[in-house]
Amino acid sequence: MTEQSRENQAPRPVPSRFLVSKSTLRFDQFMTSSIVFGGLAIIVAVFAIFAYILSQVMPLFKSASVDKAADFTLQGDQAALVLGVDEWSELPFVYRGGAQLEYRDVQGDRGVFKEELEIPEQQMTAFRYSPKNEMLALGFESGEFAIVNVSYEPIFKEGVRTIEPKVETILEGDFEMEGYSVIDIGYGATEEERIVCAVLRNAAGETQVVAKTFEQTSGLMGPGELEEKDSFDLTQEVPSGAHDILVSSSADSVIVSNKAGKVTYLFYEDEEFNKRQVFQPFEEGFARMDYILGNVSVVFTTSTGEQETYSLYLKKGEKNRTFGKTKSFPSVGVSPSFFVPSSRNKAFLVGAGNTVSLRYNTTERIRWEKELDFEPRLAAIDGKYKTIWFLDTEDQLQQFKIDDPHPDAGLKAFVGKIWYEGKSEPEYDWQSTGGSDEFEPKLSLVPLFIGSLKGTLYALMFAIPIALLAAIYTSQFLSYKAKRIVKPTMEIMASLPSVVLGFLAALWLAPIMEYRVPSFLLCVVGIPLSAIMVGYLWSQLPSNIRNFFEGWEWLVVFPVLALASIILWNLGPAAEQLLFKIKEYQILAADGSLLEVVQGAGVAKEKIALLADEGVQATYQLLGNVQGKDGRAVADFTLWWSKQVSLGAYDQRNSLVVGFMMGFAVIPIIFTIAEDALSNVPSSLRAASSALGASRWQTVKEVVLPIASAGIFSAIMIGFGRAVGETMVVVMATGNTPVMDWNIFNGMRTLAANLAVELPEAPKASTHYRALFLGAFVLFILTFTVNTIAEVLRQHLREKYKIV
Amino acid sequence: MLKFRSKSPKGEMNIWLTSMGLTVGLVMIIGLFSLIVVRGLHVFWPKNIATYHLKEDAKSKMGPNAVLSAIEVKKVQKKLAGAEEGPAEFQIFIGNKDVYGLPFKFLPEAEIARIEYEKDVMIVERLEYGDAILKPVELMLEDGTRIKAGSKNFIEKLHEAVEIGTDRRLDILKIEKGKIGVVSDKIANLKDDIARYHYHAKKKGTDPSEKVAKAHEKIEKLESEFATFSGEARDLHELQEKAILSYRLASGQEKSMPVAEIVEFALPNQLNFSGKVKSFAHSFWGFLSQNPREANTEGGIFPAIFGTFMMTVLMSIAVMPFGVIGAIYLREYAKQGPLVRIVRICVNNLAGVPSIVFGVFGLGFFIYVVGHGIDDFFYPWREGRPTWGTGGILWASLTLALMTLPVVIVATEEALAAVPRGVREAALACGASKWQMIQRVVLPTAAPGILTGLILAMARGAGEVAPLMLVGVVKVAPSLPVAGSWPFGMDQKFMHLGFHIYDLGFQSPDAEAAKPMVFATTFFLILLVVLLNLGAIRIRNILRKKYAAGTF
Repeated sequence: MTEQSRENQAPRPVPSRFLVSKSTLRFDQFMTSSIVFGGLAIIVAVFAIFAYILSQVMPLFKSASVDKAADFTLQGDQAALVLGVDEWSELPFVYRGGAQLEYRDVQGDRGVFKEELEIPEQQMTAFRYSPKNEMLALGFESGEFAIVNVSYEPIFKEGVRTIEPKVETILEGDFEMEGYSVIDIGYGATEEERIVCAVLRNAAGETQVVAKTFEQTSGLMGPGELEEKDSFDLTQEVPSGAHDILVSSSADSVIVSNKAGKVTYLFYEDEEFNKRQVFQPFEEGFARMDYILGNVSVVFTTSTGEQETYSLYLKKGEKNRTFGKTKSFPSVGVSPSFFVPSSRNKAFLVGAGNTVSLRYNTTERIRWEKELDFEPRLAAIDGKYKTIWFLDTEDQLQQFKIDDPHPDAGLKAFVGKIWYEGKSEPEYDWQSTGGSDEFEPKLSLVPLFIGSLKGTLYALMFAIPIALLAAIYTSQFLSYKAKRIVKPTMEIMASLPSVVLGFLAALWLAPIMEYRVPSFLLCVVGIPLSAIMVGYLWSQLPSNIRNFFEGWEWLVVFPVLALASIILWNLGPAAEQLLFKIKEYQILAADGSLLEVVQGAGVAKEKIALLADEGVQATYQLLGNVQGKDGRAVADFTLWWSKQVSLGAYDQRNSLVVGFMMGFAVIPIIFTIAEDALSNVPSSLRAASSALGASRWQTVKEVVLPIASAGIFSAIMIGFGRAVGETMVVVMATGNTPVMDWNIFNGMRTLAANLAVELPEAPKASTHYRALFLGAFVLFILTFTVNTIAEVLRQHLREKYKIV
Repeated sequence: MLKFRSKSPKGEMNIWLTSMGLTVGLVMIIGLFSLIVVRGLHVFWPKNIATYHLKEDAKSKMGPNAVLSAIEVKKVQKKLAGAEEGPAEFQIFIGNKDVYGLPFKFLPEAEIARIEYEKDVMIVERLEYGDAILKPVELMLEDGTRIKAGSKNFIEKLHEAVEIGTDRRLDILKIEKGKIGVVSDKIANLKDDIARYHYHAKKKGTDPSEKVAKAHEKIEKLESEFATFSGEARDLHELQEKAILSYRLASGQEKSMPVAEIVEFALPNQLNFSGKVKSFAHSFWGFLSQNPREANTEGGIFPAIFGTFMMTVLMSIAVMPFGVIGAIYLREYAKQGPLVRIVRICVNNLAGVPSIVFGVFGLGFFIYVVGHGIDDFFYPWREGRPTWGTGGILWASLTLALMTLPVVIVATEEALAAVPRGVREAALACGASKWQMIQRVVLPTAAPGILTGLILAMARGAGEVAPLMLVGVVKVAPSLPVAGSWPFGMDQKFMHLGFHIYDLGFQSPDAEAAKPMVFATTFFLILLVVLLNLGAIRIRNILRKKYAAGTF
């Protein structure tokens, strides 16, 4: 057949014995598509983990969105003074200064209706409404006052919930100041006591500050009447021209400001008022001061709209908490028209002109700010932090929905230093849940991250030397026979469940370690030294004996090390006697008189610093045979560490224990990968080196190690990844306290352990829950990146030496 | 003659240093295993009971407890506040929690006048209050016969009585768990039906009262059945109180207890070596096969073993097909290029992502998204009583399957890659389609490798605890996570060996008393994991040999 004819001829049909049956082809087609689909689906699913966790984290970084929902008309003849709303945002009310509350039913069909107030028939001159406590305090021209509880009650009828208003005057009284009328009033309550404080002014402009306390008598049927107990004149305590007054709802502090902007902080305790502090937030004075939720922080707003938060905290050298500036906010523009604290979190809403701004105190962030197309005169936030109500100049109620599920989150909350309420300075802290509603969650991931790094660092410090030395020895010097047993043995170590390691660390190792730190330290130093010593002595032996054990050195080392560790372990107490004696010191005043005897130089130093703060000059010296007292010394490492070194306390469950036990998890990983990298160094290179006369060690040092270095590095990286994510060992073998220090003898709280401890209790989709997801996300990214770098390095190395 | 190497070669010392690394590593691992094996098995070994007679001056302090029968746990050198060695103390196990309160006690060596080992001291494992160490006085059988301790057939009779009690306990259990359990399940189902009727009726606007009334009728009937069964159980319980063993503590205090309370008893001081071995095997088996008691600090670990087993099996079922399909796709079907290389690296690295992160994902996705979704869609009337929207063995298994998926994919890929090209080409040349080639040639050849991957995944999954804490493991599960009808118990919470260790060591009221149990449980967990790993290594070695011989 010629070429020509072949071209012209149509291809012959395939003989039927070569034909594939249709069903086979179809099945093949089917399998191909399903495997491609399945494979892709699995790969997508694997990456969906990342996407899902990210999707759970993202809402944390969104700012609030507030949108108008509806408006409602009111029908009042006077300007409204107070706007309030129930928890469900169904029945807002306004108070216009008379003896009536005006409710507006926005859910049902009740429209506008009024409730009578049982209050003195006088001209109302002062009012203060606390939405959190549902208390309306009113002061009158005559010097009388009334405290009205404006609450709501949900009533269920045939499965339908309606909100009923409940108005009750719980306290009525008279400050009994002839010619004075109330210009500001505050109210606070404890279990047994009620306090009403007020600023009063007469026609001449003279002011008086008075307080009255009432006692809850116990009647036959539950709590009885409130009886007046005491009356205080606080005028002398405060600078003249008192203007505003705030009383904390727990009735322990009273804050009075005057026209010039001087603020006096009075503390009420044991039936008397003590002046604690006088301070001036703004030089030029301020327009208003308001508590935010929790009554620990006061926000001062100036007439130009600047805002600063002052919180109660313990200053250095002081015994009582006083106010200090902790936050400042950018200006809202003009003088504020209203200030509404949220009764669910530390947010507050401030309005000035047409501008309204929703701010969050903890993070010092503006959640939402907008110039509205109307001028809001009053505002209210419902108890769920879901709705804002504005009352505009036209007497229109405007309802705005807030979508801000995570006001306390944000980048600053997670990585920034924050001045939390009650703390003496800005700090990183993780404390996600607290006892009360007023608790300020502390969500900094920094201490957790530091904790993770701390645990990892100590684990690696212990694991890297052992794993790498073992890998070098196994790959380069160990006899082949032994290697076949040694490698799997080390690999099995990798499969030890971490819960077992954690249990051993906490219940077995930690109690032993507590008394044996010096022994342990001796072993850490002594065992390598003894190995080197054996090596030195061995190399002095004649070569025929030496060479006999080539590849089996570890068998020779074994008994020596066993002996060394037994000796060193038992030398521990002696070393403790020698090195870690803690002595007693005496602290002497400047005139040489003995102030105190303390244990340890560290404690003595701290004491002196403390005394210096109080203005007492003191020195310390070893307690000798002075003043009939003998200086005692005790040898105890744990005591020595916490008192002499003063780096921090000694915890039984500490980083050393964790590091040692985590070593069991990390050593085999580093060992296996490093050993692979070292074994993969082409033997031709080693042979070449030996042929040039290099000794075994020289070959390893100069040829093998440099070539395998990238592989060894990647081994360490993967070990790092494993240690960072280790959960159970840390959960069980540390105290799980978030700390920021690197003290090896106390614990830490790691990202991973934090997840295991807190996630089961975190309510779904809460800030806490999402913050934990953020922790998981950080862990994911961290380990994934580290592993990727390691993997790329390894592959690179493999490619590089493939050809050789 | 030339003399080589008269001096030692350079750097020889460093080699010894490296050998130290290996030695320390090996000692660590061997030491750890020995510790667990020794401490874990020691728990089951019968120990002699010593009777401590205290000195006169201690007697005034201790009162009637100046004589104590106890098992020595360890001797400790008490440390004072300082480093001075304090006096030596014995930590002893005195048992009898009902009398002494705490089962452990520290006894200063100096206060002990003498120690003796009495032949007739008995250790009794009870259903409540842990072990009792006692001297039997008299046994009263159910028929009222009294047998004095020391008489010939006393031990024999006691054995019989204990056996009767145990059998009856099983009968009671059968009634309570079996019959009563079935009835209460039925009642629960009917109540659920009622909720469903109400829900549907409300949705459709119909009147459910007829159906509801019927269901209520059924419930009433079942409740009367329930009462009959409880009556039966109560009668048996009463019978259990009849046989009484009266005994005396070392202090001379007389007490008595129903024989039915006794799980087991032994006279360790009378046992010879073979007797001890027998007793060892007996308690070993008891530990494996019994349910835990007394907040997990007594009894056995059977539910934990079963839970671990079930979870591992479910996980394997889930991970195996997906892992293999993923690997086949990556190795055989996907176009090899930079993209696939990146995917491969990523999949590989996923194995290094901390297990807790998978737990977080499992909780967030499986439970909150999928589980809640199923509940809302299929059981909308069960508001507040989540069926799938809470932790359970299915979610736990899926979470672990996801965690071990990279392990299986990587191992399978390696196994597939190791199948020689020649074999594939031969198959194709013979006319096999691609799938036929994979199915008949590649997969069988790679099977051991895939199996290795699966075993490694199982070993990792079986030992993992952290993610399980988020997705459904519990301290005490009311029943085993298996059932005869849909959903076959897969929505149930379960117990797990690893979590059992965590729980015993850290959440139990008496950590010291729980310690032996923790060691024993640890021993079994380690045994399981190591056996799985050894299996994997063995398969790998066989595989290597096979391929080593197979290359031309």
